Amino acid sequence: MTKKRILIFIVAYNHAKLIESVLSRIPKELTAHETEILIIDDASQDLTFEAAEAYKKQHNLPYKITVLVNPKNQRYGGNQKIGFHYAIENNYDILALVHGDGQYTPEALPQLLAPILSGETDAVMGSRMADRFGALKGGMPLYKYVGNKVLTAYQNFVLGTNLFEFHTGYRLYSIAALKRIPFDLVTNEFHFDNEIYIQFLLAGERFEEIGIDTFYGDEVCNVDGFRYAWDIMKTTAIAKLQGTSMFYRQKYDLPLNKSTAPESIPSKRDFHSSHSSCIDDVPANSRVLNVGVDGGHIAQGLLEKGCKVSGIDDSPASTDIAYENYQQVDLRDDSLPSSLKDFDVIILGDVIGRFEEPEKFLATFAERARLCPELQIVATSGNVVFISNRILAALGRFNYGKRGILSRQHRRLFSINSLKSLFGMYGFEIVTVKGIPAPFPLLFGDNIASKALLAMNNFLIFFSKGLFAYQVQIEVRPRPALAWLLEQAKKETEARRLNPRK
Amino acid sequence: MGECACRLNILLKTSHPDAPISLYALLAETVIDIRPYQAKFEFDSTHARVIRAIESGTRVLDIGCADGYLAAPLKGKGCYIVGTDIYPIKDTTDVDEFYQSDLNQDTLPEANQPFDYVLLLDVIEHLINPEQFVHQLRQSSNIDQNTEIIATTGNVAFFPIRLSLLFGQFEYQDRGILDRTHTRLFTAKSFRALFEEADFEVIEMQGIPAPFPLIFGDTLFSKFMLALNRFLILASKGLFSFQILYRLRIK
Repeated sequence: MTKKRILIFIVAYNHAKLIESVLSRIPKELTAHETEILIIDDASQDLTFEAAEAYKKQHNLPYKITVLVNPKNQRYGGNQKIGFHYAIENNYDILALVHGDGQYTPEALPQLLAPILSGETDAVMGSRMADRFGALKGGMPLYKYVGNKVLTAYQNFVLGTNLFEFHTGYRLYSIAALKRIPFDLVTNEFHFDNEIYIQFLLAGERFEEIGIDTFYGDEVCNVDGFRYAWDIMKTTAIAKLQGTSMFYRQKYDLPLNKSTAPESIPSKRDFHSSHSSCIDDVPANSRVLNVGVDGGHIAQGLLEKGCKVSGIDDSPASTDIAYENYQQVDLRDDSLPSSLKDFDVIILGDVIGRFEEPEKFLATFAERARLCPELQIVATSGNVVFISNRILAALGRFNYGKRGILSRQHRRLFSINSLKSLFGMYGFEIVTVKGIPAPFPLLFGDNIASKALLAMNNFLIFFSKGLFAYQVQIEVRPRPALAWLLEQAKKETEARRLNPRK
Repeated sequence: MGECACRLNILLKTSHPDAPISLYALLAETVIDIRPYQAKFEFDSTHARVIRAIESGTRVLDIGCADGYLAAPLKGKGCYIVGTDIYPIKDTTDVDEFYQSDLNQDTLPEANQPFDYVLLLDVIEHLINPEQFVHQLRQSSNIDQNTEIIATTGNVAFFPIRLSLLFGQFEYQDRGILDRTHTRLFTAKSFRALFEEADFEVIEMQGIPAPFPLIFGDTLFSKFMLALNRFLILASKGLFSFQILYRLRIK
């Protein structure tokens, strides 16, 4: 077996007095692996860099030691990013973060490394709070202890986890896992470690907490506690609210590459929604073209009704849905089949606003649909003038999210009226307009409260669709093309000749 | 891409030269074929402010330079101007280098030396993935610690838009904040967050009044409205800025 490459990464800021002791405490048994120590002095005002260099010269250590110094202070997180980058560039397998002040005992390294070396996990968080009062006995100031407990309780509650603590700076990562999270997007401040933790959680990466001893010495703490606590509260809430239309942060759009995968779009079939409503409105055994498959949930429902479904979208098809035909297209081009004759129903599932040029799409669509005027056409869209958007916008907030009315995938936003007038402009007659309530069960779970909210929302929609419909579903009919009308006249004439009126 | 004072080109063309002119295709063309071009220098606008802010003899990268309307006045200040745009440029006399590039697909042309200024004037709201673009810009060799980025965008929280949305109206137009070609809409706050997330820091934020002279002509009334708008911006940038301008640099 080849030796694992391990980078012991020491972040140092004004630690000239402490750095030597930290270096001397790194266990010699790590030489069993290919180990390097990297110290990055984050533009200290004292002689941290010189102290580390002097130590390197005086001692004949069994590892390679690299000492670097930043010309400009990069902050706690910014400095770590440079070390992460160094580890990736130099093909290390594991990075172990050690603080230059010795607060986190370097002696524990072999114990913490073990589960990553064995492939059991991808990250180890050394936890000071695993032992109930251990941290206090180790000299952690009471205010920090209480703050840690309170913030951890809050984060556990919001993120639905059950961790000892989120705030440890003793961390070991497999580089493979670091490559899978966009760590360069997170903060440069002291809550860097915390945001990395949240990224690991959201990305579904494996990690383990292992109890460590705490030693608070006479090191100076540079953290502003209140600022830190506020940053943690905020970033945790934002991470949790990714799924709503209120916040979007790219750093929490995880796992990478999966956010647009059809599997990640939740089904809304089990309650009154655009999915269930479309499925209900399509007659059994129809031939359906579904443009904008929205995770394939409508298609799945229609297949169960004996329909034949073809799909068009810019994402790959979910493999478990038996489409007659599926085309993955770029929504910038003409993506429709040249003839719509083979279909009874067209479903435009929340897709018109995703086209780069909705007008161009509808123009082409109208031209083809007019040749098949018996088509049933159902289109759904978010309603940008939904009450919460109105209120938030009045207060100056207009934030795109991962999903919802202000989904980042939408290049154009519609109200019920503007959607109707767009279809009208291209010669469609509006048959029905239905308001769809907000998908409360996705937010609050499938429970009584969600059902009550849905019922209330539906009641309000009865009074005003524009104000209370979260989404709109409209059914339109194309105006028949003259070519089609002429064809009909010819057929009728033929029939009349064979069967003249008496 | 210029300020969304766009020219409406009605072009009689269809996809097949021999095919009869389709009414629908024609309708689509009239709406879609809008090429931004009208510049605003004479009054207090983004363009006037940007030209004033740029120091003489500097290197400027104008991303989304449209017809290079900023190039001539900058040339007068002895600047070296590199422009990029999705459409080819007709007149290259004032632009020192030009690269045709679709920011949604291509990577930015990389210069061998960082620029003093990078201009993103009403560009970002046209992109499909603004987050990805800003991040790519952050990594690009075109900028370093000394580069100043000047970015502008329409303010979707401008009070007439807030009011009409409150009353259920939200209609895209041929020009302005809700220009049909805007794929993403920003407030001062969300525009700032876009850059801060990618590790830029704000040097200065300015609120810019609505381009009244484009609507009412170069009249006393327009001047009065501009002054009034500027005064209101002092009271609340988020509410009264038609456009927002950020001067940024990397952290």
